[in-house]
Amino acid sequence: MKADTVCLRCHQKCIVTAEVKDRKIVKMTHTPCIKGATIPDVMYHPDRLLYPLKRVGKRGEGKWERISWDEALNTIAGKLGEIKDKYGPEAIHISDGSGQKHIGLQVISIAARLWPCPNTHWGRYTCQTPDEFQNWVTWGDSPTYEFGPDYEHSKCIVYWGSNPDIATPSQTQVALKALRAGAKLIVIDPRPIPMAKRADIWLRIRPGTDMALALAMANVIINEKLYDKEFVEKWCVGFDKLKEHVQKYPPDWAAKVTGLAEEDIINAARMYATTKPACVYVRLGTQQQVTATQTSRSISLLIGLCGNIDVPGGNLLYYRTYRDALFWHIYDMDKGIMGPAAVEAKRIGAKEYPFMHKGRVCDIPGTIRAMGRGEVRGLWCVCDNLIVAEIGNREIWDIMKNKLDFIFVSDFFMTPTAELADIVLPAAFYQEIDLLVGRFQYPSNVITAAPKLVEPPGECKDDREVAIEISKRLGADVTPWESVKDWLNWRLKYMGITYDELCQKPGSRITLPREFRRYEKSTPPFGTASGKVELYSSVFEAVGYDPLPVYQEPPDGPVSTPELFKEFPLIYVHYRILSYMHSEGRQIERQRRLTPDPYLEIHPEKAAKLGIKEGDWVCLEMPKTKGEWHVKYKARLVPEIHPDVVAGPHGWWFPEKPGPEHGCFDSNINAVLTLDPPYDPAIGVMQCRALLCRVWKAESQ
Amino acid sequence: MSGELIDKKIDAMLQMSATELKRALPLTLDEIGRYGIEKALGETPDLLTRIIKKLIEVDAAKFVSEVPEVSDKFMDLFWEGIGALTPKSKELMAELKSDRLMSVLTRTKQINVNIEADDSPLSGHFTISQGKISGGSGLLHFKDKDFRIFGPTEVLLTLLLDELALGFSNPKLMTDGHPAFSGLVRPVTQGIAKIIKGG
Repeated sequence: MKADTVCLRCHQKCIVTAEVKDRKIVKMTHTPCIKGATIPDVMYHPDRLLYPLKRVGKRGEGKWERISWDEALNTIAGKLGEIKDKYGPEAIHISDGSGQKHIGLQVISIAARLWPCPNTHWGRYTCQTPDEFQNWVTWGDSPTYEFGPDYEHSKCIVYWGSNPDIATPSQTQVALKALRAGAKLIVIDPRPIPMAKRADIWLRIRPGTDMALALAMANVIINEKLYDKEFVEKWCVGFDKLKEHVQKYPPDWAAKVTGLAEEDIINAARMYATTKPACVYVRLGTQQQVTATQTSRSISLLIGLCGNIDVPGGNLLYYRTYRDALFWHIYDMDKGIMGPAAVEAKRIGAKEYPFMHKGRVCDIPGTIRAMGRGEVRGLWCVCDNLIVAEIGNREIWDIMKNKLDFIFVSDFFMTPTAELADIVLPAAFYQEIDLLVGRFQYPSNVITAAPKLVEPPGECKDDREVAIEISKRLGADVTPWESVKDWLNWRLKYMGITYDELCQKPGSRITLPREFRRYEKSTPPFGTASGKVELYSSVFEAVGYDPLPVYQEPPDGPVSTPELFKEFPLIYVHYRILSYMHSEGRQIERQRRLTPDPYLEIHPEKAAKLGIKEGDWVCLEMPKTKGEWHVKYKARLVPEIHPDVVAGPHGWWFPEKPGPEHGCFDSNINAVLTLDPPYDPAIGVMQCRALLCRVWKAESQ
Repeated sequence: MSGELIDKKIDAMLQMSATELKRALPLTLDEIGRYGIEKALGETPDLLTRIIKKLIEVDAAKFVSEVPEVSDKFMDLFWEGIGALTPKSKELMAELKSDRLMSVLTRTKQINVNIEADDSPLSGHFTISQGKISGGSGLLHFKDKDFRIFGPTEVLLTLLLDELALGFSNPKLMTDGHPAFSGLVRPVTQGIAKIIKGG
């Protein structure tokens, strides 16, 4: 039997085909990348967790005993109940990783309301939260997010700090079609990503200076009167203030700051402003920094200035499109769930980061430090390899091993994080459970039911069911979610259809029409405080943030700390790998074969000076942890990379190495980063890219 | 009890300390209820506004925490009053019959909104249906709720007066439910504020 299903091994949610034989998935086809093709490799991997396990030795000793689900759930509920009674609901933290990201968010929502539990996160503060947040204050929507750019109809595509061939392969196919039809391409990245090689203009920027570039582009667009006057006058507020503000940021200034040619900056600004319609895709190259929110905002302002919003080929108003025309999107249903008000008020970081709080995300460094102080006592990692994926993982390791009262982890495999748990639960995989997917895949107007194709092996269980069962054992009123099916039906409640009915529709999907320029018909036009595009942010002004982005150098760098730059003369950035999603997939042979080792990209001239050859193992050290810790990578010489930049993968570990650590500190940048300040004032993210480092050839090869 | 007497009682309350108000407000709310909120608002249109402002002045969260019965008494009166005055407000009725609201109500029949303070027992709810607003004390069960406005007591009361800086974008005001509802509920709360200010 062949059946269409959804690959959830990254955010793209591609429709793929599964071949099922003897109640097993034997092959995947129509998969745009290796992660889809290896779905059966994950499901039937010999190391897959199949039964609930209870720790019987010390934490991390690796001694486990198989237990029943009843015992596991009763123990978990008992421990969580004790913690809640003694320390309050805020003493429990639920952390959702990229694995099961799409149902993990649902698990968090269920637990947040039913247990209830205010301190949850899904890894977003080091991901796209700063951009989402600035989108909200600027547009009241998410036009620069994954589903924002309308590549298909675009005449000019800007990839800013994003590597679409790796991160969004399905959308890239659409973009390539537009490029083949003649669309212009601007790429801003210090690395020679595949799109850079196709670009009309590739700006090989110094990491951490993107805001300077955006402000200088705004300067050119305004001073050369290339902006969309009619759109700005009718739909924006704060243009005059922005015009005055950007006079401080002329292109010759930006050229010195960014390391780019002044002419290239001017040409990029002209190309974006005059080639209409144009769309911008902003990604993590601009995030993960103390200036992340304002950097994203400075890029958003370009979209506003040129009126490239909600027009075919521009950046689309995602929520507004659904809000009015399509109206109900299931993803919004999940995000719109919170616990009782008094419990929500106890979210860690609620006072320091009110907008994170409003978006129901707790302050992660604050939460981890609260764990260290004994204010958070219980932890559920929902397919979250926290030890590997989070910054400052040595500190987290110590906290998990020695400080927390109770840890339980659900996952597909034993990870360094699961090794420190008191109870490990075997999670069911996507094709083993009923799913409802609001797809980010282009075009983003489809809601798909992806029903269970095969039974989970062993005793693997849907984490949503686990959350509901724990709630019942905590004595919660679980109405209206008595079961996972109830949950699925609830998510569809405004669609006027049940999950089973949706499964009966052709393709098990609802396709909703898209409309453009929704703001012309809406009241208010934009979902911001003023109802218009806020070039000057009234919300930021009210809370004491800069209402217009003010350029700030990275905390450490050739300009901020020239003396330190002599000692640490390279700038570190991360890159993503097509064969993996964050820390996942290292144990899957077919994926590992494509990228067997953690490679550090380095310019050949820099490598030669350091006596490093292609394939040598090298050590990398950073100022904050110098002399204490370093990490090792295999050198890959990349001639076109920015000469001062080195780039490494994040979240690397070695499942084949002995537990409990499985090499989680060996080649993982998080082992030399810390949770210490400074932080982005709006989101609380610390500087975790555009960081100074030094590299030397490892003695042991 | 007459309208004039209610007006005087409210005036007197405005001069009271928090301690004096603790005794006076529950009794006054009862008296207004017996007299009839619609009638009282007809004679003293800004009655509810004045009560809200006084609550804010005396530290609403502390006050409602110490006199929790005020929450139910106030919310019942408030929403009964709004229900009665809504048909008389052309502006609010126009909003309740607007195309964008009607297009949603054809699917949902009604929009149920909870209001919940995070620092006091203040809670209430209201329902927007075709050309009508009704509501009362306490929260609707989650399964019946479409949207929720929550946060500090003072923030919620200020929102009812439509005097909250940045409105729903205010960082202290929390909302949950599908985001589609915020753009529909906001104009209604603005219309309600106009009513209770005598507009």
